[in-house]
Amino acid sequence: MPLSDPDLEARLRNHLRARADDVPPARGDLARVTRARFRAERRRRLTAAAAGLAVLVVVGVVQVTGSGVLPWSRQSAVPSDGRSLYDLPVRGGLASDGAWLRAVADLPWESDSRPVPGRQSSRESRRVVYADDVPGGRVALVVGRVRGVTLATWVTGPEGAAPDGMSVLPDSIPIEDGEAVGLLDVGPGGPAENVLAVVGFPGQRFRFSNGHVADAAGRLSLAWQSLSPEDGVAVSVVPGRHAGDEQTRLRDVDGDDVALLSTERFSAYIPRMPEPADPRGLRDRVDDGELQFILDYLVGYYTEPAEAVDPVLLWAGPMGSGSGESGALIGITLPSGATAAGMVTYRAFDGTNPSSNQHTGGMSGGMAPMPAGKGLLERLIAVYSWNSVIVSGPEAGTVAEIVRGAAVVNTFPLVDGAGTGPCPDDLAVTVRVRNAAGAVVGETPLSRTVD
Amino acid sequence: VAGRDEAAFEAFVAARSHDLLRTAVLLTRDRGHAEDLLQTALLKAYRHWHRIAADDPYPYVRRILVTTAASRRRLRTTQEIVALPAEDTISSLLPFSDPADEIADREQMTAVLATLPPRMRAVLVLRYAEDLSEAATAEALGCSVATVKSQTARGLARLRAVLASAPAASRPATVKEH
Repeated sequence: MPLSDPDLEARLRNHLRARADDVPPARGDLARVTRARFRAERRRRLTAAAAGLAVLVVVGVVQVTGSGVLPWSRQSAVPSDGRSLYDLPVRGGLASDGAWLRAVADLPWESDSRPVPGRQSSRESRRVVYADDVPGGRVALVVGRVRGVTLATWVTGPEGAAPDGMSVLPDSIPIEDGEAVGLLDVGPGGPAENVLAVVGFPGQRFRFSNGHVADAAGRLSLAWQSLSPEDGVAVSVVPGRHAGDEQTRLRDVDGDDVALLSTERFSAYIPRMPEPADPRGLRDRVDDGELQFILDYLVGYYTEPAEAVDPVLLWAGPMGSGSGESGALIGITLPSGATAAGMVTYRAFDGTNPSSNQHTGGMSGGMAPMPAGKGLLERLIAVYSWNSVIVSGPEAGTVAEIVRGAAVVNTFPLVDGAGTGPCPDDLAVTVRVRNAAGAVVGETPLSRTVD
Repeated sequence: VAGRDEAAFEAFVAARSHDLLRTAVLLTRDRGHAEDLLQTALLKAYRHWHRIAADDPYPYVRRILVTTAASRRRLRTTQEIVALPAEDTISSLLPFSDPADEIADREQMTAVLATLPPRMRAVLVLRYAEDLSEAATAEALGCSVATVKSQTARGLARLRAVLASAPAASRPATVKEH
């Protein structure tokens, strides 16, 4: 039986507060440490000023080029005339079925049984403002009011369902005047496609994205799908997600985010990532869960399924800083030929809790895609994380050098072209790789991360 | 940073660093990473201290802390809430009567929170640990209220979906009084 909204919120609140209450006082020399870091940073910045200017120019060019590829032309917003969705007439194919609408509006919400202050609209105030059969089912948007605040939730069921066959989403959200509300559900054929319904104001336009694309030059852009609302309502079949839903975006014509709820079956769908290729024989050096985590992030950042981007395990093992953390670097090849990489680092459980033997965390980072032309195993990649750097490059590389200015600040060995070593920070650092004869195989700045 | 600003910075750190560290621990996976996050946030604030010290700097520094945590996945690294603090012991846990159940419950919630994207987790921390309103959460994260609503609803939905499918530790929560 699903947790009710109030129970879940109370459980979450209890958990977070209990964890926070366990935190001992902060160290007493934080102000001094901060000033010391500030002074050290200022010295490094002064030293690196000239190089920094050059980098700034290059980045600026990329950003200007990138801004030209956005496929959405900005247009003036459609005014809602200060109205709320609550004020609009009911829309959709069931708009004339008064008995069905009344019965659905009268369905109990989760908050009715366990009231949460500010989250419970009076049942008498509730009304359906949109109801229709959409691909895969029947949906209705119900809004209610409490002390001048409008709350909205979705009700879903099978196509043609009677009111008692409809289920109210556990979540209701307050909406402002002029705000639209969307719903994501798994499509009728399964999670390969999703169904998106958005209810807004007549004339309002929306666009949807579930990730990025990168062209052959490595330029990133969001893959937008314009929706075609009629009378302010859009129902569209959109691509299914191949990983988590962090990259799911719904925006109106002004670029403002639209509140987007999802059904439980949509939220519960967690795609399983395939095993990456393991040309360097490192698979047993990374935890299964952490590997899934970074694959999910990296695949989810883009719009392609994991099978289409050929994930490769580029490196895995204990991090070079000696901190006790482990890490893994994954690469993918996008349809354009551009390549991208993502990293996870984590600390294995230390055994202090008798009831758990699980791993205890992960960090990840997605790096800016690299232009087409070189395969992942030939590409020199250097990624910084917490006083370590991970390097993956051509197989001939046997030694990596951490270089700042003209000085080599550290060296460490590579195996099959990959490895990790200590790195004091990520300021003005490059990584140079040499082969067994001492010749330079390649040199690269630390990978630029993406937002 | 002028002398009087130095004094104000010292006073601020002495007075509010524990509050900030509490939030940092919830946003990260352990004390060490939380302290690193806090130091990073204080360093960013210190750079502009002369501009922010006139008003209450706390909301500003908290915003730096939260946005830094929420963007670390992309900017450099992301910290995941998966670890119970090393200080966790059965005796320090809250009012459940069965310690084994309680530990399982906490670990289950900790593990589920770890699956959430950083920004979604940050929204839940601000809304449920800090009791910020949707508008204040949006301001702290530099996003729209609609995003806070969506992230909250979707975060709760994901927690519910995973917790409902988990075999153990599904018991009513008890809210600690403060």
